[in-house]
Amino acid sequence: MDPQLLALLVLGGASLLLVLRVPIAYCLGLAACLGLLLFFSWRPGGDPDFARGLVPTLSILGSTTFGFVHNFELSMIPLFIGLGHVAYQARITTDLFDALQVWTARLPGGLAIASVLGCGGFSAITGSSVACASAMGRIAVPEMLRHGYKPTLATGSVAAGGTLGSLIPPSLLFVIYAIFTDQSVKNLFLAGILPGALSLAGYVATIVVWAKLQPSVAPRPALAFTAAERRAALGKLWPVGLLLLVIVGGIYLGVFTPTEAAAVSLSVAILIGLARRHLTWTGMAEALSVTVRQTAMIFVIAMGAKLFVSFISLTRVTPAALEWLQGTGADPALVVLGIVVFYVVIGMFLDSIGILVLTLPFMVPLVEGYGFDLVWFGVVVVKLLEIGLITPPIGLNVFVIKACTPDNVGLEQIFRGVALFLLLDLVVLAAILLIPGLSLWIPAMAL
Amino acid sequence: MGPLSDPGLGTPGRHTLLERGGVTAAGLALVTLCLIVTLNVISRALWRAVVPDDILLVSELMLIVILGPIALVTAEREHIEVTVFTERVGQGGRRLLACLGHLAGIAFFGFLLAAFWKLTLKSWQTGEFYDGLLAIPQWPGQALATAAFAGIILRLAFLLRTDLTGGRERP
Amino acid sequence: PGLAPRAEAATVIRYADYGPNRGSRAEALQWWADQLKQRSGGDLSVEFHWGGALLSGKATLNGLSTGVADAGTVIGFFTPSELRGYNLGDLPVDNSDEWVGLRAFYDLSKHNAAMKKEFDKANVAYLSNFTTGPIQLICTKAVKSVADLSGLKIRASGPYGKALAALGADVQRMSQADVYPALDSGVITCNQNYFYAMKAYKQYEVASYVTELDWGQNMSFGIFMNKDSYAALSEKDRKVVDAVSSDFVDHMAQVMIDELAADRAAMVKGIDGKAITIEKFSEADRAKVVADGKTQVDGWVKAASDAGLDGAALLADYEAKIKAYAAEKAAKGYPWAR
Ligand code: NA
Ligand code: NA
Repeated sequence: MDPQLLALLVLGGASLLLVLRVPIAYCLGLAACLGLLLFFSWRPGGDPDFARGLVPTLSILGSTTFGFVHNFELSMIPLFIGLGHVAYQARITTDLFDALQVWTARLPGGLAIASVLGCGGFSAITGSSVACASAMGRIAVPEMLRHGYKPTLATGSVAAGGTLGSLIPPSLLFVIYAIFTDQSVKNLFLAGILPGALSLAGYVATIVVWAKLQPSVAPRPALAFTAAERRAALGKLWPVGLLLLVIVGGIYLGVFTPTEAAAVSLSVAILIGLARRHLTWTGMAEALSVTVRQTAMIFVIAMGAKLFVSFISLTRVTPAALEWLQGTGADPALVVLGIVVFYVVIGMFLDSIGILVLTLPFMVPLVEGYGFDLVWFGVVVVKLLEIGLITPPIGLNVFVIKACTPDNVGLEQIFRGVALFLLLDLVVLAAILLIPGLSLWIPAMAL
Repeated sequence: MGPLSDPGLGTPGRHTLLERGGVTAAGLALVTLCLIVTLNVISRALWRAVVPDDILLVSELMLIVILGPIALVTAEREHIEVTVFTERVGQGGRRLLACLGHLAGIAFFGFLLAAFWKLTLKSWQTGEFYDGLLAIPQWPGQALATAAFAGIILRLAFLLRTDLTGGRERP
Repeated sequence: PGLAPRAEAATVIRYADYGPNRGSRAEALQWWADQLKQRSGGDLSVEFHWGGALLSGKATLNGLSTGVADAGTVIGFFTPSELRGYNLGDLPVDNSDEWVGLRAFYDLSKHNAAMKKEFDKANVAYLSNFTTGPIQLICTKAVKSVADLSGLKIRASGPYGKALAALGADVQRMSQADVYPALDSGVITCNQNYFYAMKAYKQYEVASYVTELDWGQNMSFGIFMNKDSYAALSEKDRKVVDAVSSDFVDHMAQVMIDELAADRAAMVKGIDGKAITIEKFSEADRAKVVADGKTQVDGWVKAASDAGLDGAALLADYEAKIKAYAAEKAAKGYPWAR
């Protein structure tokens, strides 16, 4: 069978299964298995011989999958997920929020600002946006509601702030992007810093403007903190500061590698928790259990995707498609715009890791073919995926926040709450697209 | 997709001892690999790395971290799905779709099971090992992975039976 | 069949390589593919799958033996047991002339019966070979003697790592990509490397001393083919493959010699203000290093014998070939300069 026809058939089959609610991992994995079997059994111009095709099929399935799960660098994924969960259980996250709250008390929307800053700080020690939203959601949202904040601001700010989790390094999405594009994890991490900081600043500005224009959303609490209290609050920041130092020292100063940084910071977080007696054995077991289950889930889907990539690469369908696209003479800027619109639309419905593994096999050759920088493109994609976390109808962060707010706060309210932040996100996205330096300056300085 | 559990399908029943053991083993493996790396970073800074072949040991432990929990994750129906197109499907239809998913999963992991079985067999026959100080043989890790795939297939078969009969879940 | 004229169907060789499609090794592979096409009159063409997209370095031997790809770059390091004989090419044998070493190792791999048996068993055919060029150390401080190696933190890999450890070094394992920051921050003092990779990874920017050990090469990586795909070639095509693959050895050696010399000169002269200083061991110290390498080789011979391979005979054959090619080079110079 003609390989490119086969690729189209398999792609069609996988899409059909996807629509029929078959888990993404199985859709991609099974499509890859059957595609490989047909590819090896049915050489162009000949008759199918499945007995013969099975040998190379099983060989590539075995070695590709094994290489993926038997992997030192990828231990970064469970370690950075675990760091977030342990930091939460060890009350490091709570302390962070408490301390920030003291310092932002006088600002309009001070608690919301503390929440967003807390998200930013927590993002710097965890790899996952959803972990970020759920940790801050559990801590900050009830606090804001208690002080009479309107649910739209209380939930919207944390749902949006949570999206910093993947843009500010460390970041699982960058690690997965690095695997599928063969880019350096470190460079991607560095590239995320400025766009992440810009988003964070933007969110804070959004809150200030919103609270000024509509003071009823954020009543000023009667709390006033003394200078001594503020100094004391600073003291609560040392665990986050220490973890940050480990990660920064490891990844950015080269004292150790990103993988080592992940392991050392997790060890440090556990030690801090145990030493301060905040981390109980139950809490630890809970954190580990959630971590390994999320890890397994992520790896199963990435495994399916990895096999799918092997199959697609074997059929050479992407170079052919790229040649066709370039033959149409489309303007590169238009192509980028098309990609952005595509990700915004698909981001409304799908989960970020799912989108990443589904689209990268096709996007990367395209983007490379047009001569764009893959690190810059990684930042663009991650920002788009983050936006997808808070767009209706499927916004994972919004769901997570919903799960930790009282029942009288509806999903629509939260989606309305993120609207302003989404607007800001579009501005930041435009900046990332138009000023590649935002992403590329820091990695360039580091080498 | 999403944290909202699907009311149309049976809630997860009891997990087998092996499934729960898999999660525990994965958690312990994660802590162990974390300790190995940390220990080597510290000892390397002070003197010299004390754990030999740390990269290989971590890779072996990663097998447990990743594959240990997959049967339980499957039992809890935690795999990510695209749900937008089938939101209006009724309970019966939802169950049929779930069965399709289980079948696809069984087929996919069936391929992987066969592939890993062959991989294990070959490593066993050639006596292949990882080049390093400890000369760790390749087959034990691969055999463990093979067993994990067998476990997940078994769990999918149970889920299939549950969803076909509409009955309560039992391992 | 019959008398009707039949157009010879073109054979497409699906090739799996672990590395990127740029750099001199990729260019040399492209040369191999171009020569195949040209000399077979268009019968043979090569379809490359770069960057491990089809098979990673670890998976290539198995992938070739099962027919995932028809040909590919096999790295012996990943299969220490299955390719025990072929792993001889990575051992610290005093053999640092690119052409002499490569030619000798190619001859051994292509014609030695024990090697042939090993490749047959793995269901692959050996076609040709690569080399990294001689092993050197790039360091953040001057390392001038064996005594300097004691306690020194060196990133090294494979048998050379073991050999350096035996000389008292504190050997660390990390990927070449992680070396730059590790040298910069002082996590390691030295890195075992080859001139072209020092330049490619810009390690000269953070470490300005290179100790020229000229201590053997890494050669246990080459071009292999699925045995059935090889056997299925027409007699004529197989002869073309063999001839081109043999010429590839000379081509590869010439490319490496020119490139290493150019890279060395560029780094000594300085790039953007960063230059390296070349250090050398004294004759006595270099003898110590070579003797230490000999211990590693002896260890390999023993392990090979334990596994049922006559390591001593293989080594003797290899050393004889090194001697013969060294003599040829002394008498006639390199083939491309004759
Ligand atoms: Na993060
Ligand atoms: Na969305």
